[in-house]
Amino acid sequence: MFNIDKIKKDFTILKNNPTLTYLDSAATSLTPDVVIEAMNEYYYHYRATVHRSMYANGQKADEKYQASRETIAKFLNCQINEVIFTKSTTNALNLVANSLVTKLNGDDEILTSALEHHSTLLPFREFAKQKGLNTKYIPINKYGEITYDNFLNTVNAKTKIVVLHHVSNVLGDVVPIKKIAKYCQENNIITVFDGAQAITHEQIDVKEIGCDFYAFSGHKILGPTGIGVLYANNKIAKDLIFEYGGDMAHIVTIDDVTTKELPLKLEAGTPSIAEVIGIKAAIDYLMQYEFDDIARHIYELKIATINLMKEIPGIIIYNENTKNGIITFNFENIPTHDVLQELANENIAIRGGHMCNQLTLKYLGVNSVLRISFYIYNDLNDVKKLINGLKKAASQLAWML
Amino acid sequence: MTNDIYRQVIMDHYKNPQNKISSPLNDSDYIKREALNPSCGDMVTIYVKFINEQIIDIKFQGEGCSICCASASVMTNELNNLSKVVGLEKINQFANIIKDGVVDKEYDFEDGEAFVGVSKFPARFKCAYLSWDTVGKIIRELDE
Repeated sequence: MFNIDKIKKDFTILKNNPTLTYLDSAATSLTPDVVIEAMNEYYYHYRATVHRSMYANGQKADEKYQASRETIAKFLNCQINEVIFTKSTTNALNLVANSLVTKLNGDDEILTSALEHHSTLLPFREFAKQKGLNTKYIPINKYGEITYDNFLNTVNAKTKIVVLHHVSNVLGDVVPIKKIAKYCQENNIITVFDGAQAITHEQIDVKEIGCDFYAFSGHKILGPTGIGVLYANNKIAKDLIFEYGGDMAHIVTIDDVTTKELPLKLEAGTPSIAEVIGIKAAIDYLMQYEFDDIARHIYELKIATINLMKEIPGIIIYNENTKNGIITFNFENIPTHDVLQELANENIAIRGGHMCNQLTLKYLGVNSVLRISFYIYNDLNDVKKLINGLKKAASQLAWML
Repeated sequence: MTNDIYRQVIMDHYKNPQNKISSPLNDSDYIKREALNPSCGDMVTIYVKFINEQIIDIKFQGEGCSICCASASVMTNELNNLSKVVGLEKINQFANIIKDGVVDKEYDFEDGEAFVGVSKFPARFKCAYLSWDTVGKIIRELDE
């Protein structure tokens, strides 16, 4: 299990912010020193571009860049040429959506759900709309879940792409993507999964899942911002082009272009080299721990917090029963922004608003929610500070009731 | 600390908003514009009635945080019966109040002055300014 005191020492940001209670890791995680040092080492010692330099620093940059791809391939259990670096999950999903939807025609349909993050839903639905194609929604059951049965009831011969989240950023519920992917494999339907919230606490094996595309961001798993990863099934990805430009082009003539092999053909332009190096350091750091232990740790913090939250009158919790490190809630008749202000005054960082997921909030029947999210550096002391903050907020804002 | 922002006037306007309607207004004499900060839950609709160059009535509907709702309520009084030109000037002065904490006495602010504390909470600027900015947009669009 974890030695949280030791883990906290790995994060200088926590030392520099001794009063901070950081409970917003589902938005973005903190970054341990080893990640920052790995990126600094690139800038201080061997800054050079990749894929095209003869000189020593360029060779070293190449090695480090390639080492990151190899680490991620092992991390996801895929081939090295199936790891595509992007700017973010959002960027990855946009690139996949644009390139896949271009190939659809006539009656072809996209299948998704009405509980998707904007980054999952919008690229596919809007690119499809531009081509005059329909997007269908898997019905949500009475518990607010996307079930395999409801998927089966909705998928049809016109369905060409299924795009879904793996774990919800609002409620933390888990979509049965493995069963869905199996059905899709057998029926020649392409699967695209948003793994931004799952990657933090679940060992992802894309071959076991059997999906075609799986996207996540570095900044959710202790890495830097500005780097995302797309697992792209090379049998499908070999026929795709995301963007044209440098690095992806092989032979360019006055009227034609041939492209490099995967993965470079899907990485146009100079990549985010420091961030690619940083995400490897983050994954190496995380892999010191078992993902089951991470999942258990954040769930235990969730349960401990919920038990204490129940003592505070007026709190409505929307996802008590989902097994994860996210608590989504509201104070009855107190706007989220006012609660956030009170917590901010105590240097308690949680998220409030629509969570970039307005459809899930519509399902919940609210315009905004508050979200607490735990990660490996949180402990019961953070829970205690949070509960004190929530109690103080309830007291300070009692005038609103 | 939050006493800096939750002045009694603001609390009163939040609890007893003025010129707030509970359902959409279907009156073609009013210009309607939605004022939305969806990322934080402020969802307000503003209705403004003009006669020639004069604002003669403002109403609002919707929900949001205390600062957003109280500010909308105050705004309906502060801008009513002003000319479009003076209204725009007063909107700019209100922006100065909530951004810099400076009140220009020339503009006869009444309850609007109570928002001076917002300047210490930059994240609340857009809450306080939402309804005022929306009336400004309505006026500028009319004059285009």
